[in-house]
Amino acid sequence: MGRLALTRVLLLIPVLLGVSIFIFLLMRMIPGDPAIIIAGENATPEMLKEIRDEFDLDEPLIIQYITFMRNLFSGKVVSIKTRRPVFEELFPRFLNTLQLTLFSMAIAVPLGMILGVLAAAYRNSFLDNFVMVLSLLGVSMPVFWLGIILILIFAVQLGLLPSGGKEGFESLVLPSITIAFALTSMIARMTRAMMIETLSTEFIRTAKAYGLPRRKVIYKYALKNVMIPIVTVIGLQFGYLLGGAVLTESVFGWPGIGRYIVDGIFARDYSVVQTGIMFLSAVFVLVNLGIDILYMFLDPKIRRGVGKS
Amino acid sequence: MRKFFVLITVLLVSMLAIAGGTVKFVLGVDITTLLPADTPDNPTMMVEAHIFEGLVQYDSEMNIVPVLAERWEISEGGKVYTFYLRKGITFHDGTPFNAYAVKKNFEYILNNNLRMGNLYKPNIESMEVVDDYTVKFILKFPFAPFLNYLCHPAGRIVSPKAIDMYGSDPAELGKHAVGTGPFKFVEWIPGERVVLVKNENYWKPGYPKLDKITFVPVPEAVTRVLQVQSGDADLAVNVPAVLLPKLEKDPRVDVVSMPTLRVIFLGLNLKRKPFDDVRVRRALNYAIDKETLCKTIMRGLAVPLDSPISSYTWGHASAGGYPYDPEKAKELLAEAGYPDGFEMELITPKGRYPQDYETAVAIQSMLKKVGIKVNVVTMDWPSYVARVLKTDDYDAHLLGWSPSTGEAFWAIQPVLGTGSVYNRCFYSNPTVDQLLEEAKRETDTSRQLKLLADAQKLIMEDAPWVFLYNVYQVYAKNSKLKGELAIPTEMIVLNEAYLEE
Repeated sequence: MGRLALTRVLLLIPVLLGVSIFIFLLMRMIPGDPAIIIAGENATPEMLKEIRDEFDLDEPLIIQYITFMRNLFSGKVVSIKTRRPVFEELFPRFLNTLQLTLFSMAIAVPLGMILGVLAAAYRNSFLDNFVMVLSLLGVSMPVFWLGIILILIFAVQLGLLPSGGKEGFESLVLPSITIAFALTSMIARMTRAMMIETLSTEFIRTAKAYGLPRRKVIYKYALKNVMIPIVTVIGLQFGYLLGGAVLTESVFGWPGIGRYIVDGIFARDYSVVQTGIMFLSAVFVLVNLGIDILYMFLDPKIRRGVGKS
Repeated sequence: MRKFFVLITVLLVSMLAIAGGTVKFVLGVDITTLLPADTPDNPTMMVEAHIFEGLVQYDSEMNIVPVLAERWEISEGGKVYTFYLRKGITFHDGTPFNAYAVKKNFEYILNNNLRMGNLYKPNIESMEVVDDYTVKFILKFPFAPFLNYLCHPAGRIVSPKAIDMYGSDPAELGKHAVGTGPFKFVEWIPGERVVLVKNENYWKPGYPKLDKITFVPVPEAVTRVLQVQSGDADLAVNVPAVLLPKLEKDPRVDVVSMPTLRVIFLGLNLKRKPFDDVRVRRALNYAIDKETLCKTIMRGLAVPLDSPISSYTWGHASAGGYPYDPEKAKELLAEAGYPDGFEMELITPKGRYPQDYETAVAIQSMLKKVGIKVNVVTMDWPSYVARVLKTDDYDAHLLGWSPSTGEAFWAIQPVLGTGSVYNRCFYSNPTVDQLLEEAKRETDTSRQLKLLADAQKLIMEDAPWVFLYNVYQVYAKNSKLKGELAIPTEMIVLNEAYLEE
């Protein structure tokens, strides 16, 4: 396990190097000049030149890249738009996103798994159909629309919850539900499909034939076996959500990292986008490492290094 | 007698109830800094307007009114401006406001690379302290719009002590906002909120009335409006026109629309055929029904242009404009050798200005009637700006322009002066350039206005643009919030606002 962790952490170096070059080139390939966008429509040519000089925007690409990497390692990357250190702006937003992600996960993971297992256990029943229709709605409904509808009902009509922003615990509720709805649906559908598959395998039939109680068969033997694919999906979603749920963040004015980077893209704020994407890549790699370690607890075969899946 | 006392008490209590209160103001984006001369964007200027004050400023009718300066004198020849400052004012950090503070503030602007520094660098030679409360600005040349330039938010004055402490890094100074304004800076959590509280020692007696203002960035326009409807916020900027009918029925919300200085136009590429022919350009102006655009597409929140600049911009003079006349347009096109019209590409941003793309599409159908086939091409704002400013690869582009100094010189010169950065129709009329240059240096106001009027008339005749309309700004507010100041430079200020009980 220690070796796995070490290799993965070392793997971060080539991954981040690759990401840094890729995103650097990508940002320069799309049209747009940060100086013009940031200085606004009233800028004089002198103002534009000052911004370009300040951030070496007229230098050759290779020089710009080296300067960026050097600044990154000395922690001195500064946003072109605000002139503040990018990390100082990025980190609080990442914590906000983390908060939102964890809260959504706390709703979606247990709920999704319970619904999925129940739907599989009572296949073709009313409950199953109900869960399936609801989850189809969940995965296909645009979050943007759902968010606005939730605001209309709970904030404007009922006045129960705040309509947006980040002030205390209450403002976490609606955005979390918005994210959790799609997530729950996805986990429920996944769990149901995997459970149905597992329930028709031979070892389950054997277990049933031995006369083990149905409850025990489902929750102890079947569920245990579907944990790996479910954890994989949840893990991927977790990593993905840590990149910020841009639409949800926009609708609720939640100051998360996704919105921050998207704003950076629209302002062509190279420093923000490059640093942000590299940071998120590192987070993604580390989350995946966490999942791999989790596999070992879930599956003794992986722990012992046999039957690699 | 007793009844009288009861009445007085009731009155007093109700007056007390008016004072105070906390207001939440939702903006579209987060602020960028809190250093006025380093601020390129409107939302940030709006926040700064509560913390800082300038020597002079605009009122809601775009008149120049004194703030930190009590009065001023302009020398014969227009090169020296002497300001007599208001006495007994202190910055939020306790530093007294005086001539030295003014001098230090503008020296800081002149000696550093700030984003708005070039408003002052080309025209200010030096500042001179005459006595504690008198300061002189010596200009490099007679510059008639100088007071307008001082009204620009970049001219607001920062505490000299703050400059000493943090000035070596403008970004650092931008985190420590110390001004003389009615509200004091408390905190700025990036992406989350900016909090200001009442300045108890504000120099204007009785003001401010509010205890606290919180500015919150909410990027989604629909959510901004819903926040006001649900009572979570008290004021929201940039309300989309589609939401207006519903909002106007809501008793909790007041919708206010007012003109701005922003004009929307189609810039024609004069380097290309057939737009090098003035008859074609005039034909395009006649073929587009501006009244209908304003009424239907803009839902009444715009007025047709009668000059290249808004009627609220200082120096505006009506130059007639082009009435809707498709017959005349066809005649002009035939005369120019295009009796069957031609095909052209119109590039437009989408969502940058209210109903920008919808306007382009409406223009497409209007021009079809005179035989011109228009291809509307849209792209995201950064790509659009790059295409318009860095290439000449377009027939026509839709753009908006608003002079943040509020006067005609900046409204015209950067977009229509020969060789200017934003002159992307490549218009060049030496007479217009000459008139503007003379107007800039002319110290006699009536002569200056005449020069500006002549320039506007010439531009209208040359028709380098299709002159479309002047847009309004729309904001939604809690119906109990009163007394806000809305200025056509797209600013809303709560310095004298209060919440009604």
